[in-house]
Amino acid sequence: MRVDRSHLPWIGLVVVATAVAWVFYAANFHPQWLPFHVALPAFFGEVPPRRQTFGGTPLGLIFGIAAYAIFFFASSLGIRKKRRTLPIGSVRTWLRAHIWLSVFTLPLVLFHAGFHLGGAHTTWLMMIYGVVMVSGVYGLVLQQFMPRLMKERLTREIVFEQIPHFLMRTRDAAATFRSSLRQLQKDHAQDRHAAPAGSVADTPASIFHDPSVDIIAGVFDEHCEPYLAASRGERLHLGDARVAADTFRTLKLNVTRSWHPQIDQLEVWCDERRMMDLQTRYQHWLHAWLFIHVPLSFTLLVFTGWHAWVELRFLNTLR
Amino acid sequence: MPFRRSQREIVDTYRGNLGYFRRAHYLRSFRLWLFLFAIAATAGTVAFVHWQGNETVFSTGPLSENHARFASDCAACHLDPRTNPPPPPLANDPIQAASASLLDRACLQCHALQQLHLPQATALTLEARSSELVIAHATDCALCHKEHVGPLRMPVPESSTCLTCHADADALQRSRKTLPLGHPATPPKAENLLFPDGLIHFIAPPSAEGKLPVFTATNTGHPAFGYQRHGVQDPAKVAYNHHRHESSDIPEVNGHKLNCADCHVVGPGGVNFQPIKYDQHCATCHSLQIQPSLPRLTIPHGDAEKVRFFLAGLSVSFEYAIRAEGLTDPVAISRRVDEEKKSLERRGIYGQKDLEDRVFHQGDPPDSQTDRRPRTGNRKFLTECAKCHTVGAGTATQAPKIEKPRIASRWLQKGRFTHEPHTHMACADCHGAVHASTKTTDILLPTQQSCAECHRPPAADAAPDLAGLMSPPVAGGGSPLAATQRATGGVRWGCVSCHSFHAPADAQAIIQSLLLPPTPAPKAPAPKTAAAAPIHP
Repeated sequence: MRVDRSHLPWIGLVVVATAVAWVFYAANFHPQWLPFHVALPAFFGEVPPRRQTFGGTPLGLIFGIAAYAIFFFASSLGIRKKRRTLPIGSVRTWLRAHIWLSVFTLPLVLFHAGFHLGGAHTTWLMMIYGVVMVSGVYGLVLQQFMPRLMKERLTREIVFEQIPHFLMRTRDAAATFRSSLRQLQKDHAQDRHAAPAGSVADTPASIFHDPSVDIIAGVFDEHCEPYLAASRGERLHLGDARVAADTFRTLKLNVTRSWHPQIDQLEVWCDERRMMDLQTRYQHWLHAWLFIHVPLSFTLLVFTGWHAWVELRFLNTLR
Repeated sequence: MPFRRSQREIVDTYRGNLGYFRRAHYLRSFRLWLFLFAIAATAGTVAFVHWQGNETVFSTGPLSENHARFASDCAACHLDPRTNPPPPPLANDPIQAASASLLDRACLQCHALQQLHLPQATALTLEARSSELVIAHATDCALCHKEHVGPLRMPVPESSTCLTCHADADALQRSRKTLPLGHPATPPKAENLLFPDGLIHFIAPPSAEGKLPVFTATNTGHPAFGYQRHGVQDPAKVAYNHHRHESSDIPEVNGHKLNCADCHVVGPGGVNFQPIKYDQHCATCHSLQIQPSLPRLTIPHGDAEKVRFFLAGLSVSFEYAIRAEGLTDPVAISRRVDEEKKSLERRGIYGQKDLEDRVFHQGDPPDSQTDRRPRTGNRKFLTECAKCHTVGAGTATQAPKIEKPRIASRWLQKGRFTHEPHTHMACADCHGAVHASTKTTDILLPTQQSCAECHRPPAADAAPDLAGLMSPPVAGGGSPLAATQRATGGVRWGCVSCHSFHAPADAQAIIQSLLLPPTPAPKAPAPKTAAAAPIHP
């Protein structure tokens, strides 16, 4: 999702909410930081808490619960996307809320933890949270420029899931083309065997046979066919656009003009293959962060619930 | 090179694959598998940790060295509230009411009877003399004793934790409870009392304000010491003139002029002073020899009745002393005893009464009425008891009553003091008034403000080169280090440098016994603790 002016209200909301949370945090834990007095509800307990704990205090728990609720909401985006027709706001709005409320969890989590990592469990939790947040931000940043980059560099974009099918069709067409070349080569060989000795056929075959077929077949077998069939074509000879252009230009110089359309066709197939590779790479960039973001978000959700359950149990032993 | 196929031509290639979205794309499949793996790994981790039963993973930090043995036993301190319900509250119990914390109860499993704050410990020991006890409850152990902060020894509580109450008048008032004892208080006055610890303690009269002031550091409002209160005098019952003992005509002892350390010998660890004893510290100059011809025959010291008994049987004592000199002939011994008696008569001592008067009140030769004190030099052959002691009148059947000296060994009840770290200083650095003191009633101890000259937060610009300043004290003036410390402060100014927070367990036992209601159940006899022993008035 592109972050544009329509996100301004959300950004404003996060900034205001963070400021309010900070004032509460400072008033409760570091009242000396504030130039003014904030009367907190008696429910918040001692100000500042004499035990110097953060997460276990009433305000710390409020921060923690709010962050956990946002985690739940953010995780439900996947379900919302699957149920697009549900009348609970557009997916676009949900995505904006997903982004900006998740950003708001950053101050909430830090205030809840008092800017400390704590023990092994909470450190792991914080690391998972960090990875989820960083991967999310990475995905968001990619979405700011990747579409433009794809638009500029991919002159023809193909439905991503159709790329394997498209490449298979190209390989089939190339195979047909190669079969026709093979047939021509075969016919020529038969003609040479059938011609009687001392006849006109005794003249060199090169005079009657167009050598372009063999040249094209050679280039096809050596470069085009492996490139079109490769799982990762960018490492091959024709994976480089400039090398490919030189190859086909040279090829054209060595064959008769009547073969030029076929060579152009070959070049188009290779260009398309290169374009598909580039699109695949872009798509991988665009979606790879989800491989980390989504599973770890689930882990974060479960671990946070686990953390809450355990810590509340321990908190109960302090009372 | 641009595509030469149109979008239409490209779309044509989709034909035959229009149901692609129904088939799993490898990216989506991979994501699904990763998600399933995350579910399995997460569930597996949670299950494994709980199956293993090791909850140290939830620890917020390593346990201190003190509690390292509980490192894998969280439940040792984190008690289960379901199996550890709070004890029934005791009626009118200021301790229990504030001590409901489950964590505190876990601490008390090992550290028994630590609920009380120290200041009232002396009052508890003196409870027979007080009408009420002021109790400050030591609530919430974890406030001061921070656990899970590192594997080393548990850090000493910071002064800031003390100041949460002592810098806050309201908090101070809230934490103080008064427990009436049901009997009248004895009149407030300074006393030197023998405590069960074997030391004589100086007990200051209660503060007139009756309220602890609020303060933030040793040099900003810290209460003065008890002996600094207006009009308070040393109640020791012995006459001693420090100024006189520093006079030039005082003969040398052990080859040198008298100095402080000849009498004031610090106790083990530099704590308090060893008691001053006549035999060790006074007898060299103030002999109790009764006859010049019998130097080994001296009047016993320490018990007036023994003295009287000794004097009544002086003839026998003469005989023993003469025998001790090696004379064995009974006739010669008898003749010598008669000579000693005649010698006494020549000194004006004709009977038991004269003898007792000389020993207890007058000395020998007796002072004239006009020139009784001060004397120049130890001109007397026999120093009378009354020279140092308060001696009452005797009767025909009883020896005169001699007040015990009761020289205080411990002057500060709420804080500990040791001379050991102060050896770089001269005695006069803190006890400067000694040189001019002529009376026992003078209290010659340093003021709290004097202590706070060094024991205070460091001055902002203080950066003394302590290593270069280490040197022994110089005569009459202390060391450069001490002078620098006075100027800059910064010498162990934390509360715990002098004060202990917790009352001794014995004091806790006293307060518990005051609070516990009588129960019909048979009770095991309480161990006779030192603190519970009666105070010798």
